[in-house]
Amino acid sequence: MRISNYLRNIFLEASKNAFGECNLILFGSRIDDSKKGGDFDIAVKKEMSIEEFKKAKVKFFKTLILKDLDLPIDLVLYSKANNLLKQEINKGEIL
Amino acid sequence: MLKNKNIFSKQLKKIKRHYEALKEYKEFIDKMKFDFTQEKFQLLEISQKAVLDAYLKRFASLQDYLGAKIFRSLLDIAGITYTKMSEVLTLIEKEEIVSLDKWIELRNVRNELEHDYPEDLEDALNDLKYCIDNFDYLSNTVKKVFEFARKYNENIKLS
Repeated sequence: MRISNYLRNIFLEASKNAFGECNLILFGSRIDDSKKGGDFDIAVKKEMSIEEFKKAKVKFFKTLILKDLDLPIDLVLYSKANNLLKQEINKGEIL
Repeated sequence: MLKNKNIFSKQLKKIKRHYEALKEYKEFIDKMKFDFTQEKFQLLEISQKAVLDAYLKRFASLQDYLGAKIFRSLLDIAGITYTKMSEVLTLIEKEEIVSLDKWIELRNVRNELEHDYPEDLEDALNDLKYCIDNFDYLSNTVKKVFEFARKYNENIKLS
């Protein structure tokens, strides 16, 4: 997967702060080593409502913004993803 | 740093154009009495759907432009120094122009709109409802921007 250790640790810290204990799965173009650049597609694996997820998502991005990291991240909640998206996520790797 | 006061005036005029268009669309949408259900959405006329689309585009443009240009310019004109993006947002929050949490929430929804129409119409309608419900917040932010600018002799009036 194409992510630096530095960013990986920051994503994990931000997610722990926002979502508590959960798994983060990196999927999409960032797990293809032959590609360059691209958004970070990340799925959060934890049981929560969409409303809880939206609130936690604000916390997640706030942590990053306060570290001056304004990155193209598409954060989705695994349990609410449609089947097609779940298939994509299942090809991903746990951060 | 803002090099030219004229640039700031032009930026404010651009915000004013976005704001006035958004306000006009919002008035049109309010008259539609649309309840954001999928059933009612299917029954809308193309012209009504076009206004909803136009509203979302203006909402996104206004939000983007405030974040990308205006907040920095406000600090520049007030002589408040900053070096990083995080400082811009925290200083703007300190000036009570936006709340950082609310701003990030708006940005998150705005980024979802970016992915074209989400495949799921229900999600798209929820985001649309959010943007319409938050017209007042964005509108108040614009008003605060103009009030702040007035302290530095920028006298462009909002309608």
